[in-house]
This record gives sequence, C-alpha cells and structure tokens, in this order.
Amino acid sequence: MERMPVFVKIDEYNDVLAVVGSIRKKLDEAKETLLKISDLKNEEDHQLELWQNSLAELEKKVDFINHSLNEPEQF
Amino acid sequence: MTRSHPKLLPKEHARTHLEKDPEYMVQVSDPKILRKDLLESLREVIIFMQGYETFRKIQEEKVALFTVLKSQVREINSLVEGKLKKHLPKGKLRGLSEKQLQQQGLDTELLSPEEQQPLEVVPIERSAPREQAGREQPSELDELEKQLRDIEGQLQNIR
Repeated sequence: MERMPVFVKIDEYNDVLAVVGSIRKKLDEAKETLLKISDLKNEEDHQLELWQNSLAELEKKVDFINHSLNEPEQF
Repeated sequence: MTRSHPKLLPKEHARTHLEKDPEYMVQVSDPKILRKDLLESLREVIIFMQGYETFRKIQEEKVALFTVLKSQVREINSLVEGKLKKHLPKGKLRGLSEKQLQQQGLDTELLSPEEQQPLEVVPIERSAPREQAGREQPSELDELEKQLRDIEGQLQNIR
C-alpha cells in the first residue's frame, strides 16, 4: 500500500506553538539544573580525593608517633 | 594477735599492684619531631573537619537542586500531558523511525536530538547561596579556624 501524507488539524496553532516554546524553555532550565548538579558532584569527588590524601598523610604521622612510642630504640 | 593495718594486707597490696599498669619511661630520641608530627596531625584533622563542612554544604545544595529538578520535570510533564496533548488529536499513529524518515527523504537533523547543536553552556552562579549558608553557621567554622591558627602558631614556635 502506498504511503500517503497525513495532515493533522490543529485548531489553535499559535497556542500549540506557545506551549511547545514553554516546554523548550523548561527543558533548558532542567538542563541547566542538571549541569549544576553534575558540577556539584565533581566538587564532591574532588573533596573526597582530598580527604583520601589527608587521611593517608595522617596515617603516616600516627604510625610514626606510634613507632616512636612503642619502639623508641629504633628511632 | 591482731594486725594493726588491715588495709595493707600483702595479698591485697599485690593485687592492686597487678591491676595497675606498669609505668614505663619511654625515651624519645627526637621529641621535637614527635611534637611537630602531633601538631601536624591535629592540623590535618582540623582541615579534614573543615572539608566536611564544605562537603555538607555541597550536599545540601545538591539536594536543593534535585528538588528543583524534580519540580521542573513535573512541570514539563504537566505541560506535555495537560496542554500539548489537548491540542493534538488522539490517534493510533506511531512515530516514524529514523530509517523510515531517511527513506522518505525528510530532514532528520530537525527531528533527531543527537544531530542538534549543543546548547550554550551557561556559567553556574552558586556562590551566593554558599556565602549565605556560611553566614548562617559561622561559629563552627570559626572555631575550627581558630584552632588551626593556634596549631600553626605552635608549629612555628617549634621550627
């Protein structure tokens, strides 16, 4: 069967365009919010990395203190 | 014969001795370094706690943004379901796939979102709410900063 073009009748064409426009606007806003969330997530990851480094440094220091108190002859 | 000092029974005395931890004198070869390490560890802990404050604020901000996003998606949904659908006729027509569109020679660029140009990235402004949050709870951070300054001062004295 040959495909025939389908026409859809829209009574309030301008209203539809306005609705589509506001949907697009809302979508842009949502995209912007999502970008902000993604940025915050990156910041969180960075902060976690800093914590990891900080903890490693702290562990080294506590180890040194522990050793110097438990095995003073080695230092 | 009665004992004159019942409290100093040898058995009890020995027991108290056993219960008490032995006292050791530990010679620390380089006390300066040890002290420096202790102070630096304290500094690290305070920096860690400051980081936690930052982390908490980021999370609060993220939760707020999630709420905003949720409401935005709900609004979009209501616009599509409530307003847009009302204007379009109810039909059982299926949307054309990309292959079918290409076969018909329609402009797919206008229809597929992948082909569209990416939107301009808007710079994110969110320094204001964080500053506000900072103003609301200054005491905890101030306290941490004060402790940090004290430790820095002590460290400088050691050096």
